[in-house]
Amino acid sequence: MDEFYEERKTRAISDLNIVPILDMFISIVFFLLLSTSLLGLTKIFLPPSGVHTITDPLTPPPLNPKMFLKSSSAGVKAILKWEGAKPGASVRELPNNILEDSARLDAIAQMKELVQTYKAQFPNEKTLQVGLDAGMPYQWLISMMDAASDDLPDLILLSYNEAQAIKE
Amino acid sequence: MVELRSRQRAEVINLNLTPMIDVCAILIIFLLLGTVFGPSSVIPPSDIRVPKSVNKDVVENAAQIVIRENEVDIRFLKKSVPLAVFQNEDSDLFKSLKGEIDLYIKQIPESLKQSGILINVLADRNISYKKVFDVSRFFRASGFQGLLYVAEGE
Repeated sequence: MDEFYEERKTRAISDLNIVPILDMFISIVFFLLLSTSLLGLTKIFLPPSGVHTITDPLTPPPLNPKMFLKSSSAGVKAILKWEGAKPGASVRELPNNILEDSARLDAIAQMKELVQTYKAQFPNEKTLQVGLDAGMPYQWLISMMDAASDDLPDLILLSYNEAQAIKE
Repeated sequence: MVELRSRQRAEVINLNLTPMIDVCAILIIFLLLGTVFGPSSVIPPSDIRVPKSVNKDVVENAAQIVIRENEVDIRFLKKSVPLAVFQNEDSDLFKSLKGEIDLYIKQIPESLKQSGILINVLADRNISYKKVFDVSRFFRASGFQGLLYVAEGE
């Protein structure tokens, strides 16, 4: 009777040696960890400069908006000036410690407000000239460009001499 | 009296490696996707803390310079130049540097020039605006049309 039933074959379970695979994985992880820069970098674009010539004498004079940051012992002042038919200016007092995150974000918000107020008056404007006192940290320039670039994307750098000569 | 010592059998611990392999695989995928390969990726020097920015634009592959306290590393020419050179337009070093940059710009393929001749500027967040402006003015006058100030995302 037994010959009717075939003897059940035992299946050989081959053990996969995963140790070399693990070694390779860990080596790759270390290689990538060491070679990866986890710093999320961004950029602020200073666009190409151009020359505009006014040929129509009846056109109102250009606005030439300029934003300056002036540093003093009392703090930092942001001054936005423009010319044109009706010249004007706005001033904001900014926190001095730009390298602290909260102060920087506050300064950007205040400068943005300054730019947006100007943009509301002159919606067709796209250009802004920006300048700082000679000794001010580079972080101020980046924060000023952060504040302005959404509303006035064409930014032009002004010399520190011009920023120092400006009066409120 | 025969002392019956029950021989203790060493227990074989089976380490379950499946979750470990899963984690390794996920880490590899994350790092592979997050890594920028290529010689022109922007890597700030370790002694420089780039400024912070709320801007979300991604850095572009372009020529790079690093502005330091006393010198400027011009990475695309593989040389360092004292910062004073950029403030003295009459110096011989200023003129020769301008000539080298002219040659470099001429070598850039026309297809890349169509999107503008760009340069990535890396500098410490504490460096003075005067130094950044002097160097920026030089490179702008030398033919670089767009300056990309590299910053760290907030």
